[in-house]
Amino acid sequence: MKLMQHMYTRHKEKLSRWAKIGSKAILASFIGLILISCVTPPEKPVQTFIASDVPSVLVVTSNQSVERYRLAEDAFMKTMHDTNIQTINLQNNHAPVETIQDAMNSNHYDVIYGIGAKALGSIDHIAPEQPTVFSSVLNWRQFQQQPNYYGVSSDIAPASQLAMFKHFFPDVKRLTVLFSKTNRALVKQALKACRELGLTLNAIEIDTPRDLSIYLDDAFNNTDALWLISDPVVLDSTKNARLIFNRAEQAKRPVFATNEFFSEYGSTLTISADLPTVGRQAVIYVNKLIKQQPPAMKVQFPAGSKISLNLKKVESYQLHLNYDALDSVNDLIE
Amino acid sequence: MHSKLKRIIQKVSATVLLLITFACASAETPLTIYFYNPEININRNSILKHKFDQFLASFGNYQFQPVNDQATFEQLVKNEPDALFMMSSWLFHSLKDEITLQAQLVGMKNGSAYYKKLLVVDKNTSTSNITDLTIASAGSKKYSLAVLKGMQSGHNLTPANADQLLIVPKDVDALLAVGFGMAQAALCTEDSFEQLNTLYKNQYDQLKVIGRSQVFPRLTVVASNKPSDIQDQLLTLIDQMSDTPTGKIPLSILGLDSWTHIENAESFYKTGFQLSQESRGGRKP
Repeated sequence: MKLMQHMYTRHKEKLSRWAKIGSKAILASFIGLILISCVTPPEKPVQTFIASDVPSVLVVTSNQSVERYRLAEDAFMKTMHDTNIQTINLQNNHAPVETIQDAMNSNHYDVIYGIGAKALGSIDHIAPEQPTVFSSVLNWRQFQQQPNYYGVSSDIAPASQLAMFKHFFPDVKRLTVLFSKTNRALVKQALKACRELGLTLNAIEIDTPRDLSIYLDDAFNNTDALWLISDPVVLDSTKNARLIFNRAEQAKRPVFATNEFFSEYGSTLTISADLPTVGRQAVIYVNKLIKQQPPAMKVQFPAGSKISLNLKKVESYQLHLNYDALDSVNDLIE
Repeated sequence: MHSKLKRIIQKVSATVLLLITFACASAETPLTIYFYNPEININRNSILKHKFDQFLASFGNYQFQPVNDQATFEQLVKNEPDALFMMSSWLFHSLKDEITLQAQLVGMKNGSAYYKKLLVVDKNTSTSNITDLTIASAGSKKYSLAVLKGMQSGHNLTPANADQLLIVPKDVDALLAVGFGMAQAALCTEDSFEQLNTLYKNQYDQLKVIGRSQVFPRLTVVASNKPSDIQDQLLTLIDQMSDTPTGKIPLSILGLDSWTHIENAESFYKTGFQLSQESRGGRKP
């Protein structure tokens, strides 16, 4: 008992000494933090890492606080080397064109990498001739005419998506897709891929968002799953998205989606672009442009996929899941 | 007033430290399986941890801990002799001279504990400029370059520049990247290439193999050469994962069907694994 008391007293003395040191350190850190915050200038939208005699790249991001932009930019910065890189964050920037113009006036850039529509739109406004690489731009087709613009599109290749559906659910043979005229070319590619993959695709074109409810019953008849693509007419509102998922639930049919966002709505399988891979694809484009070797393809599909699987839906709809495909999954919803 | 406040802060700090000390002393440290695999790039550490911990929870105080970078993992391998390590055999082989740990289990897929890497290109790709191609690979850059360098081929397959490697999450991405023009070559396992044949024959038919690696053992579980009782129990649990539904899911996520013992670890370094015919012999949970 005495020994324990002695040990306790010694332990207490030691702790008291540490506590004195600790409290002084905490106080010093606190004062230090206040001083640092007083002398640190406010964050600038433009960050420069310039050295001489090496190629220069300007990276313009629509909003660095948005994960889908940040992941691509981080992977780009991590992979790109032997290059001077200047970054511009257009978050809360109400004069993006002027900001980019200022940067271009003060330095020469071999290539610009624009992430997001705000970034690419602003670059296009002042530098339509400049060798430019883009990613995370949904309406990239409107920049297709620019001779020196190259980029990575937002959605995985339709054939890759369909192949993955088949890989996960070998019993799913008949798919339905709802689309509008914007996606006619994509659906044409998908029909070809389905023939190659031994799948049947029931493609239903709709003209206006109002038509959706009319065609939804057809969509779930004689089909094993609904393939939900990013279509501006089909998915024109949250209301329409909810309507689709409610009908799918009633019909006990899985929805395979192309955007992670729909995992929350109850998609059974979601295949979206892996954004760090998109950033690395941009590096390959930029390196080719620096070497003045024009890339063979002006716009590429994302090369990496991110897959989310909802096991609750798999069970609820009694789907036959190929367990070998689980080595491709990033997220499991249970 | 100031000295009174100081005394209060000191007392509070002392109490907090005391509580932390007691809490640490009373809590039993779980036996950890550290995981790192540079052969795949897919970001799924959170689901691996979740599914492994779910499987291990009912058997004892064990935990699964994926590690993001090789340097941290190597430090753990060198400094945590009580832990178990799940790693690529390639990495284990590269560390073998620096550590005293021993390969205990190896992963099995389709009845084989081995795999080969292939370099595949589009059928129409000329083999005269292979070193200039963009190569999609699911492995880390260091691993991919090492595999390419060791490949048997009539050509030099090492890229002229490491920037020509496009790191993608998984083999199927690498293969489809060739099919859709994002890369001109894919570094993938023989299993994945054959899987493409079943999955998407048209794409498979467009590709040709231009390089083959040596045979590598699959994912390996490494532990002390004289495992303690608790380490032995955990090794047995891992070995028997494929027998339970909660064990099958994390195994499938790793791309494996089961594990098997490495009977003669010495020969691992020299002639490869000698696999036990009775993969589950000896250990019981």
